[in-house]
Order: sequence, then structure tokens, then C-alpha cells
Amino acid sequence: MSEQLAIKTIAQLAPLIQQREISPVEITQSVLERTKKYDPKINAFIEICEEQALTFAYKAEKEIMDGIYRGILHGIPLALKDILYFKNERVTMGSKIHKEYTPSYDATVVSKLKEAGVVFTGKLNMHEYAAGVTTNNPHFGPCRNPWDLERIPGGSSGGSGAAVAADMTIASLGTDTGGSIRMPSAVCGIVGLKPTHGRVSKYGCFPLSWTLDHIGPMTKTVEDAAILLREIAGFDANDPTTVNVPIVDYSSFLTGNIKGKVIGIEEDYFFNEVDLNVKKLVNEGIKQLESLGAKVEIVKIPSLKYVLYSEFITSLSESSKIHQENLRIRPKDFGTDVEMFLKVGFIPSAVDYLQAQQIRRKLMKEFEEVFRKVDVLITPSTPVVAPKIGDETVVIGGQVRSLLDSIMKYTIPGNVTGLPSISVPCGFSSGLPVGMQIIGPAFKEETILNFAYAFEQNNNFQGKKPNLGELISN
Amino acid sequence: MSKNVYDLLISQGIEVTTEEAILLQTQWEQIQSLKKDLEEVIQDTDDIALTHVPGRGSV
Repeated sequence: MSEQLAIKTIAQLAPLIQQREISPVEITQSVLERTKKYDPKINAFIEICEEQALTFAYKAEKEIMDGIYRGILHGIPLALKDILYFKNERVTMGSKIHKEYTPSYDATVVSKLKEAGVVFTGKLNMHEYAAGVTTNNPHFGPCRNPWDLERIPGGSSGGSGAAVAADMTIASLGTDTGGSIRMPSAVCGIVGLKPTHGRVSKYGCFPLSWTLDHIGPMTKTVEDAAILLREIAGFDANDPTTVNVPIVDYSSFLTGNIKGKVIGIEEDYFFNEVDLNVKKLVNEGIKQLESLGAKVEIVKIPSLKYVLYSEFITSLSESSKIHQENLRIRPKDFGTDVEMFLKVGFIPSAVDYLQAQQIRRKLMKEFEEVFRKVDVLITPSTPVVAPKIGDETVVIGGQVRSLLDSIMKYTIPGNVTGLPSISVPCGFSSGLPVGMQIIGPAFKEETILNFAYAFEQNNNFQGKKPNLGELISN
Repeated sequence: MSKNVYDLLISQGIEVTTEEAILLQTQWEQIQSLKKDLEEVIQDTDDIALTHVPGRGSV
């Protein structure tokens, strides 16, 4: 079976499936073949569900042959981050404690994808409980970056990033509390979309931090991100944080026309403490968008100075509450880094937590003010390329900095404010992918998608693939 | 001060060694350093980002 089907996108495969030119079974077999070939070295999967996937695929094939076509995701094989609940199936959250956990219901996003006819091929590796950025998982082994196996794929959705980049899934879903969709997407050279908080239901997704968590697409192209968002978005009575706002056909906004639109650039926070090559590539990206007719305006967001404090206090406090009982009775069943992360969360007071929420509100107001003047903000997605596995620090401009604090610096504001943000590939530094982040106003995912699309259509970074052939020979 | 972190965690039923308490103290001080001069920006009466909507839950 050709591996060529696995490298295609949702947008390429869907019409072929609908016209019965290819079968969901062929595509699924192609994806599984690549997974079995490459995953032993990449370790993006916690579980490969081959038998179940083929059962789903044959069912989809029969339905389509019988004239029942459910829509654009019908028969498309996807593997998802192992933090989303599947009814009566094991979901681990990348943990030892929940290694045999079997929920009794589907996550809302899973039930939407099931309804759409998706073929599920497996559960993807992640940082334990999504509480970290490396996916160096002590219970299931480190996930490796397909561009360089000695490097991390980012996290916490590192398995999703690596699997999409290595064409071991057509697309995926990740979760993002401080950058866990956008950061792995950037360092794996794929597209990652964190929607507005409230756009996609988190029901049935094991929480890391209730007010910061998001679910979103991780895909090979911007068009696929638009397609997948359309399928998973929507108000859900089971998730009180979802907002009942209209969902649009995001794909229909992908015109690539950004003429007259205004790009905001905030330099003090978003272009400070960044690797020079990364900065250069993002600046070149902005210049390209200017050449397409967009204008650039410099903006100020003073409270960004406190955004890291607000994020840390909020995420530490909320996640420590979630894991409070297990931290009391079986602390050594957490990985060392996660155990320490959760223990720090017992230190902040209620006053600290509420002060962090005051900062969030102030930031939201400042961003709102900025979005009265500009259509999007553009920043680097990460300040550096993928660090090596085991590194706890990064060097930026000759200064040694904590990996955890540095690598999420540019993605965290999107979580603290809840604003939609997308990472799109914008080049390579020393052979490793670099991402450009586009942030937009609340519930204007179509705006950031179209900016990302305009950029993507003028480049071919997403068409470049890691040299997986070398993986096999080494 | 690390004794305070130790006592604080122990009082909440969290097992912690003195070595861990020192590390946690360092991490906490790093987090605290991120809010330097915050009082000049945030007023005591500033509203928070969490609101409670009766009948709908918290947002």
C-alpha cells in the first residue's frame, strides 16, 4: 500500500473519498503503515488502534458506497492527543496514575468527530497531564521531533505535533494551556490553531487549568485547520465556558486577500529575548504580508509585563487543585517535574490567585483597545527552535534562560486573554522549523486563518518534510 | 523562608522533603520576581477576569 496517501491533507483527500476514487480503508492502511514504520523511533503514539481503525474505515467505506456521505471528515484517519475521552476506551493523560482510566462518555469533540465519520487510528503521546513543554514522558518514553530525533517535539501536545509532521496522521487535535498547541506546531513545522476560549467545548478533556485550557486543530495546512475547527466548534451545555456565538464556514474566508488590513507589532514583549534567526524569519514574514497589501502599526500593551506571573499563578493554582488528592496520597507516581510543578501550586494564596485574575482583565482590556486599531498581532510563536531532549535551559542572545519560562513566553498571552492565535510555519533555522504566531480579536478565528493562509500561499514551508528515510537507515 | 514553604505544604497534607522545600522556595521566589512593581499597575478595586453568571455557571 502506498504511503503517498498518508502525506495528503484533509482538503485533498475528502473529494477523492466523496467521489469514491479512493477508499477510507486505503488511506487508513497507508497511515497505519507509516505509523508502524516510523513510530518506533519517534514514539508519538501511546496506543495504535489498528484493528479498531480498520473497522471504522470499512464502515465508512460501506456507508459511502451506499451513498451516505457524512461530510468532509468522513473516512479521514485521525489520531488524537491522549487526553480526550473516548467512551469505554483507555485514556492515560500520559500518566501512570490514570494509565488504566476508562471514561464512560465521549469528549464533546470526540463525539462530534465520530458523528462526522472520522476513523480513529490511535492515542498520541503528551507531556504528563499536559503539565509541561517537552513531551519527555517518564511513563511512555520521550516523544522525538521528526526533524531531529535528539530534539523535543515541544509540548504538551508533542505527540500530535510529531505525528502530523511525520504524516502518521492526516491531522490531529491538541490542547493548549500556555502554548501546547502552538509551540509543538511551531517546532515541528506544522499549523496549530488555538481558538478563542469558549469556542470549542472542553467537556471530556482532562483539565490542566480550567480557565486557561483550550482544544484546537494541529494540521498540515491552514485550510485543514479551518476545516477541523468548523467541525469541533460550538456551544455545549456540558461546558459552562463555551459561548453561544455563531460558527462560520472558516474555509470560505480563506481568500488570501489581506489588502488594507493592519498588522500590529508589539516589540517590548513579543520581540524581546528572541533568537536572532527566529526574529529575522518572522520579520521577513511580516514584510511578505506587507507586500501583499497589509500595513504595519507599532502598538503598546503595558500589562504584558505581568502576563507570565498571571499565567503561572493561575495554572499552578488550578492544576494543583485538580491533582490535590493524588498529590497527597501517591506523589511519587507523578514524574518528578510534574510533582514539583504541582507542589509549587500549593504556595500561592487566594489573594495571589485573584490578583492574577485582575491582571488578566487588565490585559484583556488592553488587547481589546489594540484590536480597535489593528486586525491582527504578529509575533514569533517561540523564541527558539526545538531544544535537545533533556535540556532544561536555552541560550538566547548569550543569556541562559529557563526552558519552561522562555519557550511559552509568546504563546501565554493567548491563554491568559483567551484570544485566538495560530502558529504557521515561516522558515527554518539550522534545519529546524520556525513558527510565526498570528493573534486576533475574540471569536475572529476567520481573520487569523486568512492571514495565515495568505502567508502560506506565498511560501512552501508546509510542503517541506523531515527526512524520515534517514530514520529508517540509522 | 524554605521552612515556611515546608510548613505550608505539610499543613495541607502534601509530603515534602527539606531539599524539595528549598527548591520550591527558589521557584516561588522566581515567580514572585515577575510581579515587581505590580501594585503601581493594579488597583485593589480592579475587577477580576472571573465572573459568576447565575443560571449559567462561571465564565
